[in-house]
Amino acid sequence: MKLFLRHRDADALMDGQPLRDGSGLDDVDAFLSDMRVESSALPAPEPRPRFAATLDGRRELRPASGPTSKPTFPPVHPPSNRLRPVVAMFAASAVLFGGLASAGALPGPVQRTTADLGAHVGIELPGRTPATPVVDGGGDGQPRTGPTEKPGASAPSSTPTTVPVALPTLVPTVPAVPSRPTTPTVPTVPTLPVPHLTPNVPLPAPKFPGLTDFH
Amino acid sequence: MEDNHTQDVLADLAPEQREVLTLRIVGDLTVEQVAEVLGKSPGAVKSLQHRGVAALRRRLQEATS
Repeated sequence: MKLFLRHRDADALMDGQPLRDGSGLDDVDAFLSDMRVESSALPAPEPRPRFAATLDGRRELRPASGPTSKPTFPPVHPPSNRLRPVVAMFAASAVLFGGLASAGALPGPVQRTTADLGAHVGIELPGRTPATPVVDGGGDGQPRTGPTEKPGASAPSSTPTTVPVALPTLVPTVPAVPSRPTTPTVPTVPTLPVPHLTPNVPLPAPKFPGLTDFH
Repeated sequence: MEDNHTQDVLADLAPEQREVLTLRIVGDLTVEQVAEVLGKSPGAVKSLQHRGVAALRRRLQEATS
């Protein structure tokens, strides 16, 4: 015989409420009532640690009805948010400064310094300081660069006068190309003298030792 | 004697069903409180409670017959 049990009847049994007529749960109701009486008379059994913590109040139970509290997490602020404006300003200034430097629109000393720095890393920028050639000092082993004093400036008589060294020109000189005539001119061929011909003398036929005459 | 009978009947239940019935009857806890203690959902506790009552009724009818 299959016993059918309604949820409503089971809930009423567990809550100690009166059962409906004909539910067929009178014996179960009597058994649970005995359990309640016996549990009140007997010492409480040793509960589980979790249940004991609940009974001691160390662990707060959720209310039987009502809104459930959702766990709250601290807001997360990634550190990139703080660095983002700094990186943006650095990138914008680099682009602006690079653009002005490539266009040669920076002030003179700044442009020259930037061009020199760019030349070190292989970037050609306008306004670079021209390279000073190294000239041999004439046997003393010390290279001598361009003039250190302006020519014509008065120098004390005790110090020797410095002779300005002529810097070699960096621009090569290209020889002038003569202009070509518009109409081609054909050179005149001089008349060659007629060579003196020798009389017609029959030459002997060449003889080859390894060959036989087929004729 | 009666105490032994109750223990014997409860011993035939599944451990989870016995635990739910004990907490509900002896501990006088609600379904939500039992779910909190056992770490289960209230629906799971209701299901265990329903199957435990059914098993208890079946066990008592077998004992009387």
